[in-house]
Amino acid sequence: MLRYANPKRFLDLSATLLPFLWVLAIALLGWGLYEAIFVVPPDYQQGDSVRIMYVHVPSAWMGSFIYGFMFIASVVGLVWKHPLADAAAKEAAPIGACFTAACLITGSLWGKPMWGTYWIWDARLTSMLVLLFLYLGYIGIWSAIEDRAKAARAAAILCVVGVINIPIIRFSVEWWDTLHQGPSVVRFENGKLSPSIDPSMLWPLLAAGLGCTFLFFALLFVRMRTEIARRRIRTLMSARAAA
Amino acid sequence: MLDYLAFAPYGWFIWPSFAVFALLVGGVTVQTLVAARRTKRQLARLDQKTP
Repeated sequence: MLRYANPKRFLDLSATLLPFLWVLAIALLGWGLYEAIFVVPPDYQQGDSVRIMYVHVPSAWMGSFIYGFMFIASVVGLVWKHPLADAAAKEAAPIGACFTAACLITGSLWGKPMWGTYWIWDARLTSMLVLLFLYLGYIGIWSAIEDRAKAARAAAILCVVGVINIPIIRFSVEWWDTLHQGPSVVRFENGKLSPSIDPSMLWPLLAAGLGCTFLFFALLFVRMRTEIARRRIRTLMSARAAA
Repeated sequence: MLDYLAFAPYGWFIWPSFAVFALLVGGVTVQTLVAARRTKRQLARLDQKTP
């Protein structure tokens, strides 16, 4: 993996992978959302409002997944000072912030008809809001500190410290009494992991989640390629200014 | 079909949810692609000017 931390190798590899990532992202997300609107049956308790799940749950998954990805990239950046690790974390943050914001807003819109309120300060909702603030803080550090090495270090430290929020999000519905339901897509029962929703609902949900994952990597690769190009522009400008 | 897509009485919550998702995820996608294109052009111009 670390072999690809070389920008040239990363550019070659990402150029090969990008078309596949785009096709998989569009196909899976498109199919998942089509099923969500036109095919999936209404839930026996929640009625048609369950369709919100197909944008809410993948957004929630991505919000946490992307932060986990940023954590790994930040650790690699802090410990091994790989040139692409900081760029990976930096470019992942706006995508993660968008998914987290989507999760919070769609959750709020789902909460009103089901719970009778758009918002409540329960552990799951609050920890998810904290995740959004962590993303915004991370992006803010990169914007506020001009020295890129210092910005990378400060942002990475925030990211590493903030990762404590990820298990809190995951287990909040088990550790505290929350209005938010417990884990309900798959459950660990009798020593094995089994789905707890009907396959007609599960597959479109997994497709949408997987589509979002491929979309994330497609966007990340494009953004990292852009960041490498920006670094080259800065180098060329400095060389011209010095000449 | 329109009756089905109204998803009564939850349509007022379902469609804004899909719209917010499309706006945020579509927005970051468009912003990413526009920035990539702009940067690529800028780099090409600089490469041309650099001897």
